[in-house]
Amino acid sequence: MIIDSHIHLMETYGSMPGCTPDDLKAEFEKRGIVQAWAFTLKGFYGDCAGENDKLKTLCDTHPDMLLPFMTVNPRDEEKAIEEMERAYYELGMKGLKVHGWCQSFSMTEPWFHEMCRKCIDLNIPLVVHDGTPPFTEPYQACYVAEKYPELTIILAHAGLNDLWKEALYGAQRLNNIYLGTCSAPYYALKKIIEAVGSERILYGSDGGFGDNRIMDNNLDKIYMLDLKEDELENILYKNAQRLLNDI
Amino acid sequence: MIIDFCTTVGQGITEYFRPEDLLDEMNQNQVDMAVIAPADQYLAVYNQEGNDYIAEMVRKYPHKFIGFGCVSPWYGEKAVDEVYRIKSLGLKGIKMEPFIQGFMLSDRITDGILTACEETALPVLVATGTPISSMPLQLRELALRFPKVNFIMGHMGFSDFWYDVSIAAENLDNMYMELSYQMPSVIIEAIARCGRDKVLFGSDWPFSREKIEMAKVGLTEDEEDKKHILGENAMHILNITEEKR
Repeated sequence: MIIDSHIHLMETYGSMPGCTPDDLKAEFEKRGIVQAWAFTLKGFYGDCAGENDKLKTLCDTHPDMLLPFMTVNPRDEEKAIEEMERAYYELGMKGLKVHGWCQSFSMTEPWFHEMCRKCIDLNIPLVVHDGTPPFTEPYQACYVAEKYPELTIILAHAGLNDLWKEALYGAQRLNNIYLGTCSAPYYALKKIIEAVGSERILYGSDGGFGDNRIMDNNLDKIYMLDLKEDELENILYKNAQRLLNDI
Repeated sequence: MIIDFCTTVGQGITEYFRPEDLLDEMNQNQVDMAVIAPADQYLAVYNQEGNDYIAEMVRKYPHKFIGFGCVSPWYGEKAVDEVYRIKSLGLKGIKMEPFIQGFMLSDRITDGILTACEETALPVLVATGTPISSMPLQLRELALRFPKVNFIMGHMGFSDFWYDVSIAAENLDNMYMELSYQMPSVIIEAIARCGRDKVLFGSDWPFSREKIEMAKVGLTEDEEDKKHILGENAMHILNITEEKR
């Protein structure tokens, strides 16, 4: 069983084709994926509320398989907080995804902290894009994690190629940091799991963003790590399941 | 023939990357030959020792390894001399990792090295994707300034320069792209826009794995495309033939 903690659901993204919920379902079935955390892409560029609505509608076609995550623009301040409440209470969205690179903000900026406090209030996880300076350096996420120990913050890419060591050191120091495996190099994941264990690592693929064989690349990487059965289960679904049930 | 165009062997700062482990990896994936280059400190500062080690590994496994040497541009004239020594050691190219070696591709600090590469006909593999030192369009500018040197855009600008990959390689005879880490959509676009002659299979072993990266060759169903990406393009750049092996 597999839960993918990182997919994008959209019609198109520039020249890149999107993927319908039915297409995704077929792709998931081929690979034993039963559920996914679904994020917007277009929502990072403007109409957050409108895109939250669209994502919810798309996910509702397969409500057990696709769990929608909201996004807001942190620079909208009070309006963003209101949208978080609406997306949670009215749309039943499961968490907050922000993309500091696409949305052009640093997690260390004060207006973002209201959103962190709101995640704690609503008891939802915060998923962030990471690994892309100047906006999504892992230590920027660590600053937030340290300031808000009750916040569960997931660095979706474990630092990517250039910054995975920061993600590793951050997760070692702060227990509320979780790391996603999406696009993180094989070697980085090996070192991260050796250092911080498997309980805070979540499988993710960026599926739905362009060609879906990206799911194979990301899964192969996990299977090649030679993990013990319990470690594999943690990463492939248990941690994701636990996070949405527990917090 | 299948050639893995990007691997690292030897002693790093914290770990020893055993050449024999790479040979096992190659056996498991039916890879005939691999381009090997030095790790960490040998890449950054102890260039001569690193290049000697690579030459020794090529002598030990001549039918399996193709050696690439490293030179830090901060050695100035000595770095240029080292390019000629790399050639005389029988190594087949130069590998640059601007971030680790502490320079920017857009600095003109590598001009002497690249002039020597032109004279010795050594191709240059560059690990790209790390801002601010090693981005695809910076490599394009170098390729325009040194049109007789073949450049290989290592990792296709991964992590974040996926939107610059094809535009950096387009319409340049002397630019190739090594596909490790990159997303399927970007590789498909590169083949379509730049041609199957321009994309190379590479794994960046031990940091990624041959099985993971080789699966991406299967993104194209065209058998000729596959042959080119898996080995023929590499053979062309390295000027090797089946007979010369």
